[in-house]
Amino acid sequence: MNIVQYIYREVHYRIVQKNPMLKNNPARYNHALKIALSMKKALSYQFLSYLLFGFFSGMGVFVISSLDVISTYVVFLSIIPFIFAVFITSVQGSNVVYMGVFEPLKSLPLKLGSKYLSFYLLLEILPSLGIVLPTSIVIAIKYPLPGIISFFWFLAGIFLGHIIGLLILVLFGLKIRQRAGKSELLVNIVRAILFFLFFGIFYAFVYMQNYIMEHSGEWAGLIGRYSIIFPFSSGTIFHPLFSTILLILYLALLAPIYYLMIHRIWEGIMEPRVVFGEKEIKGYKIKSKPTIFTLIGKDMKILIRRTALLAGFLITLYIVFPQIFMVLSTGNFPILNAVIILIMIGAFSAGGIDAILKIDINAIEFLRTLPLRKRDFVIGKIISMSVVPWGIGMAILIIALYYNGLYALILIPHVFLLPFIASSVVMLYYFHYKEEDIGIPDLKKTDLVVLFLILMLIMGIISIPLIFHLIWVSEVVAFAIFLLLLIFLRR
Amino acid sequence: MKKYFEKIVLDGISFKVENGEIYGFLGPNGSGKSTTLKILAGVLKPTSGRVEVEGIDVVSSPVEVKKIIGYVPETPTLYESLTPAELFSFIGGIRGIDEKILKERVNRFVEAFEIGKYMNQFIGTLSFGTKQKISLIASFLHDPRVIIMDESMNGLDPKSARILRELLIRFRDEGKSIIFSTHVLPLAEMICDRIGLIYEGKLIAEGTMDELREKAQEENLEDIFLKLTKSKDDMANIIQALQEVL
Repeated sequence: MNIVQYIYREVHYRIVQKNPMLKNNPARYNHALKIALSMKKALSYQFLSYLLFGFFSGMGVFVISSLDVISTYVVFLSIIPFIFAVFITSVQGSNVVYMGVFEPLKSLPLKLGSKYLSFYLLLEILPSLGIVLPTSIVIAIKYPLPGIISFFWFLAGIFLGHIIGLLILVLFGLKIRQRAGKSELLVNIVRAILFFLFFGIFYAFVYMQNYIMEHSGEWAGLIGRYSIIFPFSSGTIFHPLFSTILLILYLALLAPIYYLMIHRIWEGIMEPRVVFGEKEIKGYKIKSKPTIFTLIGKDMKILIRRTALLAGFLITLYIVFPQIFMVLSTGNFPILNAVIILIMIGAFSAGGIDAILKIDINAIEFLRTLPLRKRDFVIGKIISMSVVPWGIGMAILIIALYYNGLYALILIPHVFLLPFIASSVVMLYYFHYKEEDIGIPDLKKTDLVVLFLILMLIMGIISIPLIFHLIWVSEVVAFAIFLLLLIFLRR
Repeated sequence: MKKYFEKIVLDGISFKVENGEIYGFLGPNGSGKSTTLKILAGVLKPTSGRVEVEGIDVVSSPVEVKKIIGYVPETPTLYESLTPAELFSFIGGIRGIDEKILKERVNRFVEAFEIGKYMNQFIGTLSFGTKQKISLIASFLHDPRVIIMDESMNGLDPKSARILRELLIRFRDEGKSIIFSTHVLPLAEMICDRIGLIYEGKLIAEGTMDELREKAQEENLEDIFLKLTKSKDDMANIIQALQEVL
């Protein structure tokens, strides 16, 4: 078996193993294992799923005749596999290293074992080409050479994103901090914000899509002006010679950087950089707090120390950021808008589930040795998941108070209830299995769709009174749902 | 019985450990020792059968059982981004140990196993032996009435191994029940009151050293082990075969 396949199987095997919902269901377990261990099957399945999305995108291009619009479209589309590559390489790469998948390889005579990690991550990224492939094909049908070049630009986007992801992995994912210190909190938050801002730039691009479609002429000028910089460079497809030379230049520039990164990562895996904290601490503190606080404290400490997880945990901030930016730039913030943003924050609180569960992924057996009730574990996770949305909600409340005076205090229940409701719904759905065992459930895609629909339904019910500007009624509804969830949690 | 889907890994195992007794659990690799101990500790569930710890059913009341058990796994799987001090505080919180008692116990164990200088370092950066010591302390903090240890001497330096041995004897004298698996047969011979021998998922022999000697007609535990696990006759052939290829 080749090493990339070994890494793939090992990572996916561990994911299946850690799923308590599969543990007592041989049929589902065997099915999940069969898919997880078959690299070809899993990747083909993912590719086909993305291809479906890509098909609609391609159809859009089919009806566009303006070359400027198509160029702009390619620029935006090239960002998708790029972001995929950055995200999967940095976050998943860090997880793979953390899982210890490389431990057996360390004793083998491999000069650059990290290339296998790179190939593995590229394999995980490649299905995302399904989103862009139909567009390339449609362009190629109409304009053969630009179509082919567009595909190469999508590949270049993946390669560039992969290299940036490797850079993040080198900078943040491979260090081992030797000591816990006060400065680590600040450093990690700064790192996570940088990470978030990095993604924010691309988010802003996507947000501007409608504007660009309307002003593609002006954008054509922009693409012309910044044509050597990715992603604008992918808009040069209708200048084949220039575009091809640019592609070759990109490859020539990226290849040595890639090699350098691979080298650094292998060094990092073989001998992780040990970073000592401030100064040696002579004493140590031992505290005993109630169970729920102990669980939350543990989650927060680990999140702060693992930047990749922290970045995932701050996803709500990333999603809501453009809204906050818009408010600050327009200087206008009606209460109803604030409520809508709070509902968005509430709904997106659910996105923290992945990061919050990954905290325990390597210590799950240790947790099972403790007399920890599933209910306590779930409540702890709900509160941990709600911490960031509560913080953002408070920020929204302060902004609303600034623009609307004390009347904005009416928002307080939504600030606290909505993230709790969304987090509770997700956690209850994830942990609805009967056993008392604590584990990391891995839901099926259909489960995720059902969960999404339940969340949308609940947020919809809470939002209905807002149509009639009845904020307090919306809050009463939210409170009733909150009470209902508390009853479920007690059970 | 324990089945991993179609494969039976434990079959018909039945034994009882009294209070104030050290029970050695021996067997070749893959014989089912760790699975048995994990079932006793409530980490795994048996496919069928009944497991009780101090009269409490492990399957129906796992949390209650875990309150009175201290389980040390074969490989320490701890939160690597926490420091030992944070981990012990975490355990204290989950187990509801009074802060004053917790501090006192942590200080004593930290001193005994000489890990004071590592208390503020992340567990992920520590050696296997130090992690093993942390895992041991973590399982003793609540003063468990039943101690289950799975090859827990692995990685310990001679001084710590000696301290652990003395500690186990003291725990036994206090009336605690101790079950431990090991491949260090002289140690088992030295401190165990009774020994159970597991082979291919079945308990093939059980008793005091004298009872095992009589059954196997061998003097020391190593020979008893090899004979009862049908390994003794193969040994010469295996060694000869290895010498031919190396």
